Amino acid sequence: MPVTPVTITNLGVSLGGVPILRDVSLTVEPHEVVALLGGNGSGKTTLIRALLGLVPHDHGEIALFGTSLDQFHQWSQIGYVPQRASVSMHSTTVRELVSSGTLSTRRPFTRLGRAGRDRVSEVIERVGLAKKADDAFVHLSGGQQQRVLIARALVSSPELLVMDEPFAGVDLATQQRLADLVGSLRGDGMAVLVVLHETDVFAPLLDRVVVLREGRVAHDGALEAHIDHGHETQPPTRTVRIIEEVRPWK
Amino acid sequence: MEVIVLAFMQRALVAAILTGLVAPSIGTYVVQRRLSLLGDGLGHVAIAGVGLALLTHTSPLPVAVVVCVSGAVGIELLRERGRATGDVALAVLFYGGLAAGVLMAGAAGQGAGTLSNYLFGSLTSVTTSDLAIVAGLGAVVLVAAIGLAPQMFAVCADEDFARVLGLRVRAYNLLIVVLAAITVTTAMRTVGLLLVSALMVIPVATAQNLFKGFRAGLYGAMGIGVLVAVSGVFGSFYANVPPGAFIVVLAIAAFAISWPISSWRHRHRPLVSVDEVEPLPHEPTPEHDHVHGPGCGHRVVEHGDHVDYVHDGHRHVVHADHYDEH
Repeated sequence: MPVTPVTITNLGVSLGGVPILRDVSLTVEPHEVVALLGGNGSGKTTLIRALLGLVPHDHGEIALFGTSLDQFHQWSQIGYVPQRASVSMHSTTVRELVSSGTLSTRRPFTRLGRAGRDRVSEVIERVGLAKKADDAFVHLSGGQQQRVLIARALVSSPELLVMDEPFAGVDLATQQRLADLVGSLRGDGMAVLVVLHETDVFAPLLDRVVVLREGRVAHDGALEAHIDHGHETQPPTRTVRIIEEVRPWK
Repeated sequence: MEVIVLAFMQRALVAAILTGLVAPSIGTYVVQRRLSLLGDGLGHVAIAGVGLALLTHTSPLPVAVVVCVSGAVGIELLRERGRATGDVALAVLFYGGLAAGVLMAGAAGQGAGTLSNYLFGSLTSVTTSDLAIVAGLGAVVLVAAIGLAPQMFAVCADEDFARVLGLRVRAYNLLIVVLAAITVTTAMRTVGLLLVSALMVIPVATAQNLFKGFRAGLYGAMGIGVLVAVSGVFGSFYANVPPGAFIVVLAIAAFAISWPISSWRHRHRPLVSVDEVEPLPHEPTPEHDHVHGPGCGHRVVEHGDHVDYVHDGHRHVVHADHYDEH
């Protein structure tokens, strides 16, 4: 029986003594695409960071693939896509950056083997950047850089992909291409937890949305139910038209 | 080239080559972590070690290594806990080290002249035993800097992602500053405590201008380090100037030359072929705050009688007061 990738129970997180998350509970089942929605300061990014052990939690339980976060070591099962690239990545090539995603299963003082190098090329191709593999990361557009970060997260063949606002600063056409990619990953059986500001192009992919408001879960269910309550509007007509005309990556 | 047969020149050359290799190797990570002045600060801490050694009549190098590594660990812990903001804590540590070193050297009856040997180096007076220590510690730094390159690169590039990979981020961060401390102290007999930081940073910046990618930059920086170190030893011999300072001046000259080369290459990056970027229906782009133009950072595509700018993987062309997709 498949193990639930994410189980969060009554989670409380404070940063600098200020409560950010209060009794948040959330699950992500295998093959599910779940969006984490909410306004600025609602706690979305903090929840993601607590889930990955990047910030400590005050109380509650976090389990990844059925194992308590404290005991969890199978990090190759998780792919993480941060909100934006750091300046320190600028001097690297696409291939080097994506290769760093293999380190969850590599021992120190070992080289990346043939199979690993092939896997790196495969994921770079999958995100449509095969021609850019040896280009400097800094010379890529914002959307291409985001695709590199996704490739880096995918290289270890994770079963759970965690994305923190992957559309920040990315135009609509590129958003659609990223959404297509995530759709194909779900087709591979991957669970996805994605922080979004607006559902926009992701809406057709979502199995469920979890809405945070002031650090608490305000809604956990279908997107339609959230929209019905007047909390979110459909994308503008112009957006939909552009999306329909965009071609997928070759 | 008859100087090469002189024993002191041979030792100076070997010491310079080792410093030229080792300093940029660990400097690559220091620069990537935006800690370019770390070496300078550690040099100040190492002076306290030299002062302590003079006071206790022990060998300066081992004592300076211990003191400098302790200081490096302290600096990293301050940084990690977010207590080094404003740089006040670091300044206290650095200048405290300098003052303690001068005070202890004075108490030991040694003047500024003794300390200046360590501050500015004395390549031509390097002894065989100095060389053995420099080689031994240098080998440790090189093995770690090259053998653990993927892990240390990942930690420096994106600490959060490295944690999610399960890497021991804290251990690698500590390792980087400890290796930097070892590099600084072993260089005190070669280019000196005050100038070694330049060899940790400037060849790295030069390599970043000339080479594409992290690994090429790492090896490129080491190559540039060796080149300026060897040139500096020979040049200083004939010019009768201090070798440490001459090496650093050459490193800066190499950086100055690399700058326009980098700018020229950036400006002359090949145009993108129009076939590389998928066409879109010619309609106005939704929201477009950015203004395209020469040097705007987006690559140019020749498209019929005009040029497009590649923006997030598709082409934009100016049309009246807005941009169209092309």
